[in-house]
Amino acid sequence: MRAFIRFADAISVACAVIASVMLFAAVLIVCWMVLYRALGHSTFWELETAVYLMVASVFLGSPYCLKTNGHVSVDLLAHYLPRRGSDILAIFIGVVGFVVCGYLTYVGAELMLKSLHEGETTGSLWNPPKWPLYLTMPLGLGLTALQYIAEILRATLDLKSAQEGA
Amino acid sequence: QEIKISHQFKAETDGRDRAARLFVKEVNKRDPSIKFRIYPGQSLGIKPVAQLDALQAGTLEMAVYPMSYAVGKIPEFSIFIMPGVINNLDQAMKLKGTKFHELVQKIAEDNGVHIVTWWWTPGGFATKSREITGPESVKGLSMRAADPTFEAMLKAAGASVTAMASTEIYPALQSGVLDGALTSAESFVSMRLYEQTKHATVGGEYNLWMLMQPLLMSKKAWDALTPAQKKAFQEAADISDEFFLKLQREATDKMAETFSKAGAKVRQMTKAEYDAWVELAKKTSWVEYQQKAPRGKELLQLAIDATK
Amino acid sequence: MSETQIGLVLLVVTLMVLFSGIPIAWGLTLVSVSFLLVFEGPTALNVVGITIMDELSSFALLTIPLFVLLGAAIGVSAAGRDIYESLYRWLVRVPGGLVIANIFACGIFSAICGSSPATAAAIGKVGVPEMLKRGIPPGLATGAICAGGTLGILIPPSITMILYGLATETSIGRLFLAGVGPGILLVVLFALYAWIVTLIGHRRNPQTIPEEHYTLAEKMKGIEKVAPFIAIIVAIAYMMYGGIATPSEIAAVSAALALALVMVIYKAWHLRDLWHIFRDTVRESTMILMIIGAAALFSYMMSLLYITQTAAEAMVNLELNRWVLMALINVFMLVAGCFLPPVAIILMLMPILTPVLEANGFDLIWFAVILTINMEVGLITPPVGLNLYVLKGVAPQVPLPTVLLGSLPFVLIMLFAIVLICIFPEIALWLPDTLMGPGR
Ligand code: NA
Ligand code: NA
Repeated sequence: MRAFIRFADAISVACAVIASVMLFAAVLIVCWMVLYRALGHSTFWELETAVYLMVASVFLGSPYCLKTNGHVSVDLLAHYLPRRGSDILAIFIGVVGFVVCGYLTYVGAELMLKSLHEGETTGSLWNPPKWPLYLTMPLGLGLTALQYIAEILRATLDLKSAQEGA
Repeated sequence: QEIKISHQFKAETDGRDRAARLFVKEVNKRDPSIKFRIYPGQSLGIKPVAQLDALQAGTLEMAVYPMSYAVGKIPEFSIFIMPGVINNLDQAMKLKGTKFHELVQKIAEDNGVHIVTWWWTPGGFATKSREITGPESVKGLSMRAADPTFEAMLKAAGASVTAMASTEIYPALQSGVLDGALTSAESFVSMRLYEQTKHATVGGEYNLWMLMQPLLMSKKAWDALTPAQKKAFQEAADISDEFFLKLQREATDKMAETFSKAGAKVRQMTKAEYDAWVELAKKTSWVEYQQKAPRGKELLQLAIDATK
Repeated sequence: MSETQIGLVLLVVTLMVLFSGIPIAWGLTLVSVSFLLVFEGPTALNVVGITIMDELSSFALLTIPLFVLLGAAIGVSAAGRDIYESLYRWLVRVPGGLVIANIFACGIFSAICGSSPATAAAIGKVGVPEMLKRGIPPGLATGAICAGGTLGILIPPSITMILYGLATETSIGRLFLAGVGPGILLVVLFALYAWIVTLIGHRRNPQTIPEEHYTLAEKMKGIEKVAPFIAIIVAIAYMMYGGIATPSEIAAVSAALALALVMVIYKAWHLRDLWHIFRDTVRESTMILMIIGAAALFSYMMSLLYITQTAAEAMVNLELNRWVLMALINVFMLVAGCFLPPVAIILMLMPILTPVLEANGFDLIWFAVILTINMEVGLITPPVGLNLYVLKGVAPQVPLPTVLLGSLPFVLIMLFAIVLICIFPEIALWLPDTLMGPGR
């Protein structure tokens, strides 16, 4: 159990590193685009590549955001519950989060497969395929669902240790 | 049953919304049992391009859809904006009911949508620094065209092509990122682009920028209609086509008038200029189109034959 | 069920789901999917994926991570401290000078950073401990940073203005300019308040006047440290109005400038420093964009079920006096601001409000400013006040009630500013109208 939690945590951090690199690359590409255009050239692949990279960075950042408790919520109820109650609530919220992320993973995978099957492209002059863009959604949210399993396990361990302590 | 119609244009004032409302009225005259609900101005919350996904999925029944948005999924549809094929509204209406119409309908249905109306919008160029005549006049200008085959031609003419969302055209013209843009006559006015440009090339017999923006229907929803209902839709579509044609003739005049009033120089393209563009289009846009779209060659030939 | 009934059920269910403590992004998704399934059937779910993906893959929206990056880059460095310290050298003889220096620093930082929590964190990290150490009342110290930090979304660049511009199809450049006047107004009002409160405090307790002195040379040295930031602000303005880049592209260029600045001047070029900057950026922008994606789904659901249209129609048909209506809208936004972050409110509310505002002849650019100040209040009210989380981080020893009580006067000032801008719309509109010509 603890090994799995460590494994999920490590994947989340790794994804955040990749997301950081992608975001940095996007910044450089847009700067290059502005400069290149100022010199009187046509821009071609720059804007779409930057969008792909930034969308990927947003989705890949999601598991890390969860791990560091970054997804904002109204945490009023947990404050008024006793320790045991708030532990159980944390597990419940973890399960809901897992279900929603799991559903969105499914929806994203469906979108990606349909696009791959149709051979859908962006329709621009550069015209890259769209499936790599869509792939980032099931990938990022699937890993978020994985991180939710880790969070549920963590909360269960907390609950157990609290019971044993009492 | 209830039919949802989605589009991105302003309610009551834009021609595409008004024609959609007329269509609904005419269908209901013939079959009051069909309930319509129009979601104008992107109010359904589905982005303009993604309306096609919603139609294919059967989530949305109808949409007013600029065909150039579909080219990522259906590359054949570039024909609806191809420079040098259809040069004015009369020619565009001539295509209705021809073999060309049959084939594009078949391609549409293969892709899960049915073309209901035949609404064409003429447009043109608006630029800041110099008037647009033949291909040599765009050399060195930064332009936005929104369709890849069109962009290929502009690029070959020496323009630098910039990709951006339509909402960014105004600030881009203002700040000088763009020197000019191509779009429909109605959009030039509704996006107030006359505030930022000094020259317009629009209207007349030789129009380089023509785009079909019809009412599309989800094939699932179309197939669910009874034969009598389909007939009612067709009759209503014919009436809306006539109405839309009249609106578009007015829109071109209105654009010319609005630009003149704002102090811009307005002109029409001459035959010689147009022919020069067509020569270039044949070597660039047309070639690229036939490479990208499997049935492109056939469609292009049918369109040329039908408009002769 | 009628649309009105469905709307009321939706309101109750959404509140229940949010209050359970489920993250807002997942909560909104859950409610949207459930309502679509129950009231519209499974085919309505076919576009869930494309709705979220399409919303998020707009380049204009993706400037949000870039503005967050810009704030994080500068926030990681000691720039926040430098800004307020150099200001403090000039303000040391003024009662409440340290507080005022912090408020001014928030204002300057807001002109680079598009997010409010980032602004509060950058200045508050060093500013709050320093103020507490020098005997400033804890409520005043935390309140000044809480409120000063909210300026991040009013003074351009602003994440919420970008989103508003996309939702209402108004010019983002014009929106940015409209925030300048009201932003300066708030900075001045906040500073005035700090001055008066300290002045009254001094009468009662004269020995709290600081004994520090700075020579002119020291004061000028302070300015040197602020100069690079002023340079970035000027560069942003030049690129935006000089025809070099679109407003969206400027985000990337200024993020790159800020990164270069902190790497060169503040020597934050170790991998560890960069990791801190990007880690915080990825975390905050993912949080914001997930909420935006979910809110897009939510507004699609409300529109498909005709709740949006019914609500807008009902509001128009009330035929209230337009200022009564505006007051009601403000109350609603303030309440909503307590529970939801600004990005979610804009995406869910503007489809309903835009037709109502247009029908009543309100200017959409002007309203953006009113809305933003309301959202600023929401950022410092519990239970969801992002700036409060920041304060919890930088000053854990100050109890929450003290923070809230300390923020209250600033909230009242913001409400006063809303009234002022209603009476004198020129405060917001003069600058955009002068620079961009009157128009939309
Ligand atoms: Na700002
Ligand atoms: Na709040």
